[in-house]
Amino acid sequence: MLEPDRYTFIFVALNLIILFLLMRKFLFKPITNLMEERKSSIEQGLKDAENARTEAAEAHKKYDEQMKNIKLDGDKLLNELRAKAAREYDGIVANAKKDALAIIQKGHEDVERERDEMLKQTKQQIAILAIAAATKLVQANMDTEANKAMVDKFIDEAGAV
Amino acid sequence: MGEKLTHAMEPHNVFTMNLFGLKIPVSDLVVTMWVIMAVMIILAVFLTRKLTLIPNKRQNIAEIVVEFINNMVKDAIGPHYWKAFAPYLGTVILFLIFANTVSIFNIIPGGEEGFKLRPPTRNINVTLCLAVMSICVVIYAGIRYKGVGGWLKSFAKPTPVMLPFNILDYLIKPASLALRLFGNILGAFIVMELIYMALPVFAPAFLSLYFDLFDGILQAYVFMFLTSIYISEALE
Repeated sequence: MLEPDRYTFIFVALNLIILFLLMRKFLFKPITNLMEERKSSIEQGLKDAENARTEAAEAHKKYDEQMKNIKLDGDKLLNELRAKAAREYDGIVANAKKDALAIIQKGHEDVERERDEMLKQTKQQIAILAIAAATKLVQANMDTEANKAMVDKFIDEAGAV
Repeated sequence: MGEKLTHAMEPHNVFTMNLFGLKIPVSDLVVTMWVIMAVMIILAVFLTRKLTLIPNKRQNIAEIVVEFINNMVKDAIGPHYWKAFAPYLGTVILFLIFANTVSIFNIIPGGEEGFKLRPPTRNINVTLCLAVMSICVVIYAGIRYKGVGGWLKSFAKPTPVMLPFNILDYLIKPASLALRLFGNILGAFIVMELIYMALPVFAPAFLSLYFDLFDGILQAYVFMFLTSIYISEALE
């Protein structure tokens, strides 16, 4: 156990070198490489997932913004339309009012004119009536001055009405 | 009893190799090492067949072992150079775990004279060879990553006064590695042999948990850990 033995020494050295080379070839290199490959593939996968997440978040943000814009545009359009409708409504109402006023004016004018006409006719009738009455009166006693003045006055008064 | 113990401790010639007329005796230490190597290589090939990114059961075992070793080496040597030394240190610790605990796999029937699996690390030649290889790796680390000049300069650090001590370091380090491993394993081996002689039933099962398994794995870890510390010192 303690005697030096160069053959054993040489054998052990050769064996160890052979064992080292074989173990490196069959066990350590492939497993270490594989684990590194796995690590990088997992890292790649995580990175891809992160990228996909970021992209999705961006798309969502964009979508939200678009939705907001669409809503804003819609509101704007609606408001414009509403304003336009209100304007048109006001215009129509104003026109209608104007027309109605014109019609009423015309009606008033017509009524006035007819009244005037009627008054005029009535006056004429009254005058004729008065004259007829007066004629009858005059035929009774047309001599006196007083009667004549009274008739004149009556006619004037009738004309004033 | 003493003779039996000495017989168990001493290496035995299993056969003699005839290489170009040179007679090379092959001891049971070397044969045991070959057995361990065969088991390790077969296991390594079997566990890493058809590697996939999504591991199966076999691959999981290999990954746990390799990752454990890689993490230990990473902790000791740092994140830059660990990759160059993890395979060697891993080979050493796996081999030592098998070598130190090989006596519990001694299932070959046969009497005292037959071949038995005994830890090859109970022999100073084996541990010294392992320690010298480790120190070769330390020197390789220093020269490879600091250049020959940088490595030579490291002998005069921190002050030139330290030069003789730094040179001695390269003798003391392998000697301490070799003797620590040899002494621990031989001691545990002798104790276990004595226990087998004194109490052949029941007691060996429990005591071998400590003397064979725990001590063997601990010494394997210590050897590998110290080697990695020496490497990281050489890289500083």
